Amino acid sequence: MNPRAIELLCDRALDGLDPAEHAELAQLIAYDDVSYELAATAIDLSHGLHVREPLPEHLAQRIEMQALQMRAPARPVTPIKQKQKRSVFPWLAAAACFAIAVAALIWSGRPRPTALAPLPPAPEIELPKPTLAQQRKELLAAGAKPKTWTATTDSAALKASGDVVWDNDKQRGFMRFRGLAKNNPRESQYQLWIFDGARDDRYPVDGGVFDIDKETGDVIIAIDPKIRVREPTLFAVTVEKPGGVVVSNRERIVVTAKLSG
Amino acid sequence: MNATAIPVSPLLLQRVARGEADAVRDCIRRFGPLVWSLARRFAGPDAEDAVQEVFVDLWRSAERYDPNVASEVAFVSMITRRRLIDRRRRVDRRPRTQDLDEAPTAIHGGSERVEACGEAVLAAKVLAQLRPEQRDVLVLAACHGMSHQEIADSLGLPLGTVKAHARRGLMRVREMLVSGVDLAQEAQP
Repeated sequence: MNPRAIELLCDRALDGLDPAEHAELAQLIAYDDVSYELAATAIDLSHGLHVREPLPEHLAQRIEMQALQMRAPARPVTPIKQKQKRSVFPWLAAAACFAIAVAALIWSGRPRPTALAPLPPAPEIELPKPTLAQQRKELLAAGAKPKTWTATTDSAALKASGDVVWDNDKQRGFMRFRGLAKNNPRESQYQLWIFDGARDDRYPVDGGVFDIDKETGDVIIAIDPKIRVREPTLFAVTVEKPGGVVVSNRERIVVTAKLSG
Repeated sequence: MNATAIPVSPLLLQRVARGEADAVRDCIRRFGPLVWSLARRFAGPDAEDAVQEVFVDLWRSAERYDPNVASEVAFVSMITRRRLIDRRRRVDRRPRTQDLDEAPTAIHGGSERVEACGEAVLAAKVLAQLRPEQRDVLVLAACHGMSHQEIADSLGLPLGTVKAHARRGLMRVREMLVSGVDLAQEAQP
C-alpha cells in the first residue's frame, strides 16, 4: 500500500483527519481499510478494562425512541409493467452481465480488505470490587509504604493532611486526604502529577484529575496515571481548570509527597 | 451494584440489521455502558449528544458487521471511537482527562461486569513489547483521546516524533491482529 495512505490511515485511527486529508485518503485507497481503526480500538480496550458506567436511563430511552423513528415503513414497490413488444432489453441485459463478469475478474486481482484473523470468543468476567479503603489496605499489606503529604501555603491546603501510597510494580496507588478544601468542579479541579526520574522534570506524568466533594475533605482517591511511571520521585497535586491541563503552570501547588531522590 | 446480566449473542448486531425491535433494546443495554464510558472520556460534558450520534451510526452500520473481521465489542467500540474523534475535530474541544469518577462506584463495593475481547488481549501483549516511549505515546493517543499536539506538549517531544511513535506502534498492533500471531509462541525459539 502507498506509504502516505498508511500514514493517513494511522492518523485517522488515532487523531482523525481534516476534510482535505479525508479526500486525499479517498484518492489513495480503493477500499475502506478499517484494520488500523480496529488496532487503535484494541489498544483502547486492552488498556481500558475499567468499570463501565451504566448508561443513564433517560438517555437509553431516548436512544431507543430514536431507533424506532429511524425504522420508517418500507416504501411500497410499484411493479414496472413489462412491454409486450420485443425490445433490445435482452441484448442490453446480456451485455451488462458480461461487463459485470469482466469487472469481477479485474476486481479479483485487486487488493482486498484485510481480513483479521479469527479471534477467541469474548469472555464474560466477573470482577470483585473491594472498596478503595480495602484496596489501599491490600497494597499496604503487600509492602507499599505510605508517604505523608506536605501542605503548601495555598488557601486550599490550609487544613490539608493525609498520605499517598504507591506500588510501582502494580502501577497502582491511593491518595488519602483530610481537610483538603472542597472544590467546585465547574471552576477548578485538583490534578495529580507524578514526577518520574526517568523523564524530564518539566513533563511529569499526569495522574488524573479529581474532586473533593465533601466539606470535611476526608477522602480516598485511586491514582490513575495515563502512562507507565518508571521511577517515581515526587507526587504533587495542583489546582487546575476543569478537566485538567496537559502541562501545568504550577501556580497553585497544594500538597507534595517526596518518595526519593 | 450488579449490572443486569444480558445473554451474550454473537449475532446481536445482525439482529439489529434485520430490524428486530428487541435487538435494539438488547444492544443499548449491552453496549450502552461501553459507549457511554468512551463518550465521557472523549466528549466530556457533551457525552449525551455524542452517545446519541454514536447509536445512530451504529444502527446504520450494523449490517456491515462481519464476525470474521472483528468481535462485536471491537466493532461497536470502533464505530464509537470514529464518531467521537470526528466530533472532537468538529467542535475543536480539548478532550477532558479521565477523571476518578470510578471512585464512588468502588466505594459502594459490589461487582461490575467487564467485557473483554480477543483483540484487546492481543493488543495488550503487543503493547508490553513496545519501547516505553512508543507505548506512552500510543496509550495517550488511543486510550486517552489526546491529540498528537497535546501529547507532544505533555511529554515534551517534537510533534514529528510523536506521530512516528504513534504510527509505528499502531502498525505493529495491526500486524499482530491481522496475522493473529500468538506472541507468547513467537517469543519461543
